[in-house]
Amino acid sequence: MPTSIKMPRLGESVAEGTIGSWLKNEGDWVERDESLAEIITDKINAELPSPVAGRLAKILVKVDETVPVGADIALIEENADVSASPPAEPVPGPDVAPIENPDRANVMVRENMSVSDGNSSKASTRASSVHVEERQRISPLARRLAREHDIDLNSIAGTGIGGRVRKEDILAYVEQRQVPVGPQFTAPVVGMTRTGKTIFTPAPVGSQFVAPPSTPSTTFEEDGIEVVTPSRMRLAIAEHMVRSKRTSPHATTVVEVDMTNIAKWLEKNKEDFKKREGYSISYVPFVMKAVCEGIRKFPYMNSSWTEDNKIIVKKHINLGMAVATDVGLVVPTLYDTDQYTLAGLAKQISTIAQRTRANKLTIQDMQGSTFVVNNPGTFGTILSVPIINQPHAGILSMDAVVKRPVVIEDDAIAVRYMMYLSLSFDHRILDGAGAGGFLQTVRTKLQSYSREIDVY
Amino acid sequence: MSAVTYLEAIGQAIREEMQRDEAVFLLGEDVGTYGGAFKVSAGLLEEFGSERVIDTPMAEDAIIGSAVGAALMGMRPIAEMQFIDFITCGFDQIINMANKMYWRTGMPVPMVIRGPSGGGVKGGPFHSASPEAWFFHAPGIKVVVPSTTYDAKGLLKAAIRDNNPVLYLEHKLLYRLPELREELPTEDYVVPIGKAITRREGEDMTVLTYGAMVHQCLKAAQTLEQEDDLQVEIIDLRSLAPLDKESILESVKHTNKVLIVHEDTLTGGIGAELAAILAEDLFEYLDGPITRVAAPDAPFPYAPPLEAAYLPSMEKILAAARKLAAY
Amino acid sequence: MRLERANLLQIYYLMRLTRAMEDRTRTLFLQGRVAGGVYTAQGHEATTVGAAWTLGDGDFIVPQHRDLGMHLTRGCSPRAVMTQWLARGNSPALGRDGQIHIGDMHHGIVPMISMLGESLPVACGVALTMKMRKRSTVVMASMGDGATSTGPFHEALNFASVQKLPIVFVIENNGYAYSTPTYQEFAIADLSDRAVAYGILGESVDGNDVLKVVETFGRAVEYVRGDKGPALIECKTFRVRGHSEADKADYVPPELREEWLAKDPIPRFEEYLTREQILTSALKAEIAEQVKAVVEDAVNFAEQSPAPDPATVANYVFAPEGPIAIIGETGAEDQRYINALDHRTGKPFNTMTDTGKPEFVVTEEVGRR
Repeated sequence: MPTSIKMPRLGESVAEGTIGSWLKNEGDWVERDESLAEIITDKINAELPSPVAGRLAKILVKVDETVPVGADIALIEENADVSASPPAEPVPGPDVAPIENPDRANVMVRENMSVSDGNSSKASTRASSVHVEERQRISPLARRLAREHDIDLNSIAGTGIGGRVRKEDILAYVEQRQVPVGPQFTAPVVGMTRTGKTIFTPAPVGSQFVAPPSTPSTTFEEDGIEVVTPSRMRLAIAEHMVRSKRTSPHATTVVEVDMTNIAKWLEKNKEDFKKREGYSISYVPFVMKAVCEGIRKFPYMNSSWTEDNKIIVKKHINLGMAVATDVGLVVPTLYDTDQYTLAGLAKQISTIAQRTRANKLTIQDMQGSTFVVNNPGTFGTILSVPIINQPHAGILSMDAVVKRPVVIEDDAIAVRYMMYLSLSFDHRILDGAGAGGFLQTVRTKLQSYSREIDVY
Repeated sequence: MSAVTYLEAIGQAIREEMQRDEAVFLLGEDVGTYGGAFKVSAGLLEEFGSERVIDTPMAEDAIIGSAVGAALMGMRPIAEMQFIDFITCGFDQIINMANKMYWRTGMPVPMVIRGPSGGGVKGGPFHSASPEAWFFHAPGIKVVVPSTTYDAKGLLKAAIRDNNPVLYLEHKLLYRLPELREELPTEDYVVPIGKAITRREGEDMTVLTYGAMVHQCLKAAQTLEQEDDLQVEIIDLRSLAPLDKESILESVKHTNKVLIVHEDTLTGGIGAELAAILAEDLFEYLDGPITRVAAPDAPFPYAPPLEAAYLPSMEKILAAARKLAAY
Repeated sequence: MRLERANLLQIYYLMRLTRAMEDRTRTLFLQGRVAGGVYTAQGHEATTVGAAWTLGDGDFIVPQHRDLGMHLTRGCSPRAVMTQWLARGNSPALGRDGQIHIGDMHHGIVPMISMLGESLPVACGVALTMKMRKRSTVVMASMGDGATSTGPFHEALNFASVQKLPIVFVIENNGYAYSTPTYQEFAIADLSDRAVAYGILGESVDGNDVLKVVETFGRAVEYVRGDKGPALIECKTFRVRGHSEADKADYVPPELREEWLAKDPIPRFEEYLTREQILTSALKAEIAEQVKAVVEDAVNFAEQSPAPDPATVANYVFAPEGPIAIIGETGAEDQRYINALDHRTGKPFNTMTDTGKPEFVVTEEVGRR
């Protein structure tokens, strides 16, 4: 094995060096400490003395070439055919000095301690008291979140080290309480106004929602069937679906909207918009904007029926928006939706969708919605009947925009971009007239756009 | 303009400030004819003459004391410590003279004390110091620690223009690192003192660090992303005094976990103060223990294996981050 | 240095004022009206007043704690001094510091700290700056015998010598560094011998003879102003009281004290002035009256001044952005011109220190300049 000669560190801050000249040629014999090459660095120039005696087998770095400190610059064959040359020994690197292993030292100290701590009665007393006083481990943040959301910590199994309850556990629990409304989406049930006033308190979630794993598991398979224990989220969805159907008498009504101008505008401007703004724009901001207009005209669409038979009408319009994730759909909230321009909404939607997919939603994101806009149209559906996200008064589904032959003015038939909007509403709060009026407003707004749209 | 090293950026800042303002001058050991032990000031004597690039006797107290005297007269001296370790020889001039001057007399002391700090270059116990905590603790002096070539120049310019004593700690390991070579703006710029910078965004934890450790932490963050799917946010403090509390708190509020990494020793270090601030202001935002990775409470050793064991290594940073993430 | 009659009277007045201010401070201390310790310099008056007298406008003193005489000679107001002792909120240090730690660059007074000797390198920086600005400024940096044992003493003298800085270093050798007598501090007879090691001018002078002090410093100032490098002048004097007023100084042999009390610089100078028929008994009474009035005014002013506001305790640690004070800027006509305000108070630097009347004014013109 030839010994490799490395570029030395000539100065504390020097990171690289240049070969000024080779003082030996390949094949030359070199004594230990005899100069091999001239090295040039930012700080000094120096001759490099060979660390070993041997034959310069190979020059790896040419004159005027710069290499980092530590790079191989030459090989010296120590077992060269000169019997007088000293026996080869590996060049000691800086890292092989015989020092004590600090880890081993630590272990020894610990063993000593345990030996000296040999008072058995004292030790056992301590152990039992630890057992008795064992408390739940919980991070300060998780404790605060639990308090804010009225969560009994005993009902939560932590997933941190030693079963510690941490942020993720609380967020998962809250998410699971926010029971989904339909197979494509879930939505929060912790209905709070932005000011923090609780409008709706969900029925206590049974312990069965705590125990199951967060992912489904198969318990056994036989005779072609498979029994699956659903995930916590699935169970929560199930519970909420049943409760929503039981709570609100659902009625559903549908309108058809001509989206041609918006579709054409999007076709023409979508790419530019994305390039300019860094996020995409779709049909959703348009529908949300129109829904806000509808709600302003029909404020009861933004309300809740309480357990003591009151109707609470909410002043803030906070639309929930369905976003697909790996574990199911979640419905984060866009606060004060009516305050944004179309571009502003597009940005909010893009931001929150990204946060959702990254699983970085905050509790704030998961509460406070007052009405949901759902977009199963992305799955190509043309007509959906959504289930209300409690405690809302309604939910709107927008289905796919598709080209259809449509009768237009003067009984002409034209190809237009059409979309069904399907509204499910709580018949305790609203009747068909109100719901229809709301949908008319939404449709009128959507059809009011010309080919030139100012999204700002 | 070609890319320059961290070291050259420091030289550029001094040169440009001396060109811009006659009040700026440099004094220290071997800064003139020799151009500085690390060649930071190479060429300055030729350009500005021996009145403004002063080779001093080996006397840190006189170097810093003279700088204070000149600053009182309205000059903006830059006092170089050949190695920042030697700042202890002029400690009194900083702590008792410079730091308290404006506070008790109304006379500003606009001066910079700068020099090579930090280890990792086999400098041993007297050429590897990270002295920031001593000065961080002493009211009346600002402390800045650049980690990039851009910041090296911009922070030094800000320090020179500041109306207070500023300790500017340059890391000698970074002086000539090829990967830190950078093309700097041709126009004049400063990096404001008191502003941290987010070097990397992440959701899972915040790493608070500064100086050469910024680069170590950035490498660790890459590994944590690839191997553990962790997104680590890295805040380069840049300015230790005053601290950019706002940025620190905002980040930790967001990530809920914090790892502090510094090359200086653990006890009473910058990390200790950061931990106290976070515990006081953000207790109920914390989802795990505030964790520190720092040098052990021992002097800086010489032998390579000891130095390697002393400095916060990738392994230590990764282990601490993983433990914190799983907490 | 030629002294006119008016100059001699002014020097006498300043020596008397210095003594009276310190006597009054001691009284206030004994009455418990001074916040902290009191350091006086009875016996130093010929040295402090005489040395500072030889400076002109635009020159600087870098004083130490026994240099009240230098402060007053430079024009620092007795009111400012008293507000410092009584820790008032309007003192030059705004109550942050006491004693005669009065930074007053307008009057050419560089603020001192208690780490004696540490001001000497600062003096180098002041001189270095004035040299760069092509001013013929002289810096007078004083120290006690004690400070000559410190590292900064060596560092400063050496640096000043190498750079040929226009500094007159003054050693007020008063026999004791706190309780340590000179023979335990150094093993040479004359501290001015230290000058040899730095290749600079060195001289020792009777520090209790004001005329000799003025003469010696007059030459030294002229020498350093002539770009010949620094000078080191030792004034042999004696601290006839304790290190502070809380020190009864029983380590000082009584006969030694008696010996020096007999050499008290004020009666010595009085004798000379009387002999030369410069000081009449009427004039002496008038001066005594005015000294009394100035001290009274200073004390009253300080006592009526507000205490510092505790709410400001954390203020002024850092100087804000904005123009900084530049003293004796190249091109400025007034060498003492300071082009910025004290940012702490928003007022000029000399607002406090210019109040009161440090100068003796009689019908005959008497003035330092």
